[in-house]
Amino acid sequence: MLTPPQPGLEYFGASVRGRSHIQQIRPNEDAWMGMSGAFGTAIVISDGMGSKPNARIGAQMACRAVRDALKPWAKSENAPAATLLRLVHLFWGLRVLPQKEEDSAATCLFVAVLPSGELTIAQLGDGIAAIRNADGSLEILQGERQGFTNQTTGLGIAKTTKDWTVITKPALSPNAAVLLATDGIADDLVADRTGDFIHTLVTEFGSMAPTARRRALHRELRNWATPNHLDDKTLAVIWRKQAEDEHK
Amino acid sequence: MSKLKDFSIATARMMPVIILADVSGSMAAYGKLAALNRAIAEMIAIFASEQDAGAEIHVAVITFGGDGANFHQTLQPASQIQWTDMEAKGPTPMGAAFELATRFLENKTEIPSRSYHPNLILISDGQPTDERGRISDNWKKPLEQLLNSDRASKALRFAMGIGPDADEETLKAFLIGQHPEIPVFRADETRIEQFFRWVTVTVSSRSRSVNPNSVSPIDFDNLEELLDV
Repeated sequence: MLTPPQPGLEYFGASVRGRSHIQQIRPNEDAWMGMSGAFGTAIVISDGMGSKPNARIGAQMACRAVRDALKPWAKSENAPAATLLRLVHLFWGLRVLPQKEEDSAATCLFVAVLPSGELTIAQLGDGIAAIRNADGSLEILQGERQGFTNQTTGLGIAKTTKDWTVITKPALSPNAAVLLATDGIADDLVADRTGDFIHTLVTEFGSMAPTARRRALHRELRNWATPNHLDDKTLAVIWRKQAEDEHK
Repeated sequence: MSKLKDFSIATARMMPVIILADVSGSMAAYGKLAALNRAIAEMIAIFASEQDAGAEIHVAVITFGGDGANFHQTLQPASQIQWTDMEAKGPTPMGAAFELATRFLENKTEIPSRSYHPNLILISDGQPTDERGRISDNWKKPLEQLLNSDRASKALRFAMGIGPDADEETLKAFLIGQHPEIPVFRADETRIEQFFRWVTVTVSSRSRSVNPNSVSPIDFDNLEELLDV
């Protein structure tokens, strides 16, 4: 049975196949997952690397590996984030067996809110992880990429947790939201509109019933406005509602 | 009506093609520069007519000849380029071309990070010189900087030596460290267009690929077969 998110927390996500994969009759190689339990509430997205034969499974297993890793990690008081990341690598490596890790390479971005309220955001590989604070200010986990699109690291490539970017915060403030998106979306976002993008997702889509939201989001992502867009597209958002909403 | 349309960039991701063309005085001989002009114009026309490309191919041409390196053609979508022929003059300051190419490729305003990795094409018929025309190895340091830079080093590189005087050492050094290995294409004035057909097929194939950054150059031995299709 699904555990509901912690009080005040909401999340949703969506993933669609890109035009290239549709034309080539290949599956969606992105994945996302939202999860709640004794460990808290979390969202994960992953982009399986297109050149790898087991990319789709690699992405799906990245989502499950984060859930696997959060369970023991959240139980240990003051366990460092690096331990969580090591666990993600470990569980992912087990889950992609018997395939080789390098054949299953996938990015991994996640947000976890522990029962204590502490927030951890982590990113390995390209895509975007961004916090829109209640005052509208924006924090992006990784700066602009150094190279070009689709040149990235991920599970199955990175050999050390130093390749991750991680931040922790005491809490996710009321009305603050965190966006995760794969590069099919992230690379096409207008840089100075990212905060508005997150706000629109929360206000316009967050209030919809799940089935209607899924349909509406899939339609938006399939009809993405950037010309010639090819990539699979995945996003997930988590936010904390205003305190007064929690009492309703 | 879309609620997210306003947040996405309204232009396609670019695939840059940057040509470093030797326009030293010797290129005027035996119709070499005339053949090069024709070949580049034909390549641009083919890129402009690509219908099903996922990436929009942009082309720039840096010429080196006379007293330095300059943009003969600034980076623009192939479909918008009105090609004008290059003219030959003076010595072969190839080092200046490497410097200009590195600066340009590292500039995220000119080539945004959302672009696919660039194609960089070197064409020369002689030995590099300084600006006064003396044989010089002043190209080595700029090339080393290009090959070790964050972004320029990620370009897919091609090289063509025209005629017997083209300097093999320089052209090979330009291609070093690529996987799979890409050989220097040796040409006389009659094979220049063939080289550009090979580059055109490779770039077009990349632009149509599900993962444009993972495509290797087309096997040159299969080129004629591909062109017949």
